[in-house]
Amino acid sequence: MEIIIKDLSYTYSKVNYQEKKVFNKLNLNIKENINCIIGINGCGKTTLLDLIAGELKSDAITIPKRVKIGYVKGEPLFVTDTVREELIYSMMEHNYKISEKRIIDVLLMVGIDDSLVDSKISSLSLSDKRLLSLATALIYNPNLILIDNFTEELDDFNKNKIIKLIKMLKTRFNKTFIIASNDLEFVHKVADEVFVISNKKVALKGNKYDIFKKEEQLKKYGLSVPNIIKFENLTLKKKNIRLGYRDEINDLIKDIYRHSY
Amino acid sequence: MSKNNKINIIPNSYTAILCSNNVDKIKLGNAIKNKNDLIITTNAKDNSEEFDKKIVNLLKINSLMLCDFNTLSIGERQMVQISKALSYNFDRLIVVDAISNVSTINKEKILKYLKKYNNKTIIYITSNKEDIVYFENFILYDNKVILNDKLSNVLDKEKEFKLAGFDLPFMPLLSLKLKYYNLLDRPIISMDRMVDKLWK
Repeated sequence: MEIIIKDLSYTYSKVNYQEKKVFNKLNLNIKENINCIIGINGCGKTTLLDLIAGELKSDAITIPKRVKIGYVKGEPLFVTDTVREELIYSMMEHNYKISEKRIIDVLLMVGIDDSLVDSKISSLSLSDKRLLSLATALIYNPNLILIDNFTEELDDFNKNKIIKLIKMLKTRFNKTFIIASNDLEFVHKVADEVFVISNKKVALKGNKYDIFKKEEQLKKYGLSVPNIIKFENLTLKKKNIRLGYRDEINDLIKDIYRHSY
Repeated sequence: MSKNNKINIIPNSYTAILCSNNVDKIKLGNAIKNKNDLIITTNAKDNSEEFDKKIVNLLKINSLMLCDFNTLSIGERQMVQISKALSYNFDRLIVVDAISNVSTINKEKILKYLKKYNNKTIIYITSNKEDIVYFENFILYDNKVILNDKLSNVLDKEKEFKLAGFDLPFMPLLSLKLKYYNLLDRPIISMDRMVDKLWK
């Protein structure tokens, strides 16, 4: 699967919005990976997801016909009262055969206790609401999942649960993700590829290590880097010691130990 | 909130309350709110025309102040809201997840800017553990008060943080682990200082 975005220009019209040009000839090829989009507030991350999802229209985006899209938003809008009703609604909406087993399976997959299946959505915690919105997408088996502003306001336990889930869905079920986020610690832990949007275009793209080691360049785009990378970059800059780019703090500790004696 | 689970806020100080997702943070904010307190919550809408010019300039969001609020992204709305809130007179300000979607560099600017209110009480309720290092007092809350102390006294309380669903913030966690390997003797928050201490 490859999503091709060629010369995408997009301006919010004056009908509902004040005129605002968001993209100017943006080009991007998105492959089967966990892809993360970062950029300062208002750079167009959500707009890009809306365009890929087809909620906003553009001829500049080519998506293979067999691709089924699931779109998960950080501020989910639910249309029914209970967890079960919401999942049934999602299956019906996407012409998917209604199955009780599938409802329970998808709840267990995202880590919501199946005893909550008849609970009122309004009684769920914020993290369970977000997991439910992911479940409403997964239940009709999309192969491309778009996720917008999902982990901001979540504690570490729930954030780590979501990171594991996304990685499992990629490796075991071959799902492709495009995730827009301001949470760089989350992006660093989950991403394969990172795209930086700045000045209406894709300013940087590459694997997460290549992107995050460009700390000075990212600063120009109004972005910082995750703490673990910041520490590694600072050690190189101040002491000329190359620790390597690590995902986990325990690996960083081993590197520090190795370079201390 | 029960009486034996009272949150103790020191007047004229900066307090961070770190909450797990088992806690409805807006309810918690309202529970600790006194009559004349100013409270800002996530995605709140304030129709006032007034704003704090200094923070608007600092964040470089002058053009956003003229925009229709509904056309802004969540992070932009949050920056506009905090700029408007800071134009009010207040003795106690309660910030509930109100800058959660602001990108890191601007969030850091806001958290540092709040420190200029040295004769006011600032209470910052969040689920982002990295934000707490900007505050002097700290409360860890997971449907009950788990820790309530000076921040400097809690930065090695890994077990308590875990209990509430959190890791320690990056620098205290790194310090603790380095201490375990006898590479450091006490927590260091500043990255610069830690690098200098490790490789003199």
